[in-house]
Amino acid sequence: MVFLQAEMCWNVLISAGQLSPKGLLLRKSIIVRLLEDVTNRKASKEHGYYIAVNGLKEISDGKIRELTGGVLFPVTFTCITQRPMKGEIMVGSVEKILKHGVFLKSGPMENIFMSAKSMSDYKYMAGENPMFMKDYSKLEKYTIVRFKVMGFCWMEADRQFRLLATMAGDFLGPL
Amino acid sequence: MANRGGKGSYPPSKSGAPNGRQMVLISDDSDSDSDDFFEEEAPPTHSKSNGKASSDSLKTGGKASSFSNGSKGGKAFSAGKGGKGSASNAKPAMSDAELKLQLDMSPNSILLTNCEAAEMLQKIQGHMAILSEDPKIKIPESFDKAFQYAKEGNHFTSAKLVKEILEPLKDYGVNDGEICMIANIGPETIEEVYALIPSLKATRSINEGKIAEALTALANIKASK
Repeated sequence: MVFLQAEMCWNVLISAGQLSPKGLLLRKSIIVRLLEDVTNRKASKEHGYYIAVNGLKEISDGKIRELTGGVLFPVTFTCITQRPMKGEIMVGSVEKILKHGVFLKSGPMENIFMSAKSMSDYKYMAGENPMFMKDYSKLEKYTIVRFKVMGFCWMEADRQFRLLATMAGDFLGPL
Repeated sequence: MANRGGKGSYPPSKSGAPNGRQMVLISDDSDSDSDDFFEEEAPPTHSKSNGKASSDSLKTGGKASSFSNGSKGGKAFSAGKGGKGSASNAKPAMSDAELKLQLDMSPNSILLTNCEAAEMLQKIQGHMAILSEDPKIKIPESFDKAFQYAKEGNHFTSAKLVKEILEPLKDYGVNDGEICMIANIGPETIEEVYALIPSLKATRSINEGKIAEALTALANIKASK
């Protein structure tokens, strides 16, 4: 997954009780609320996983919400995100081994699947400690693997990505 | 991700299907209906097992890549009982390896290399002790994992030097995504670069010398691990 620094503009709602005539306290409330919103949202299809807010560009004028008395502030900020890209090379560790393939983990991504068909040189060895073996090379739990991203999809319900990986190619495989 | 009769899974249609289309779905028990990775379409004349299949990447905005299955390493995934992926005699290993980088960024985003991200996240980590004192301040849960990933993927001692070494490659047909990949992979040989980033092969005659020079310069600033 590649790191991006994305500029975003979100609306941050400050409830009436947090409003303060002192400018700095209001600013702190906005920033704290923004961080909370970023944490709660976790990820998006467009930007990927939100890693950290690293800059505040502008807090625009707030709009009062008539019914609740809260104020909506449009906030422009920059955020470091991490997003998968098709065709990129990644490094991950093996989490689970099944007959049909392996599940890998890399960074915040925990749903990376590599089919046994894309590692056709490797043979599945069942047992208490299942693994895929080829000559002197083996793929077992916690093995570090370099792979290529064949495709991915965004799961709106879970708010995370699922990746499809391959090891078919030169310089790919266990490190 | 073969599903054993989970929601949304069904065996692919046989060659006798009216439109000869074979759908292969992956799904999980806990997922909604919209969790298929990709579909495989077999043209009607080749709807038998040796037909050539094309597949699309789903919902990502990336270009659809067409690659076929081979008997050696078919990429079809099947879900459900008795589901079989469509297979053909084409070459998946070549297609997988030749799959080019598709950068799909929003307009207000800047690409960061692992080394740049590691330095930025290190600075934030430095403030973490103070930030964590206030219970109202929340840090995204992906932070620790991403920071770990950036540190492990950072092969060099200085992001600024990496940028200075790789930036001139832009004049030789290497785009931002490819430069980022070179920095993230930390290749040791020129062959490794062209094997892992196949899109560079098209301009090999222009950029081979410069990339080789860049690799030599990068080797001097590689961090010891």
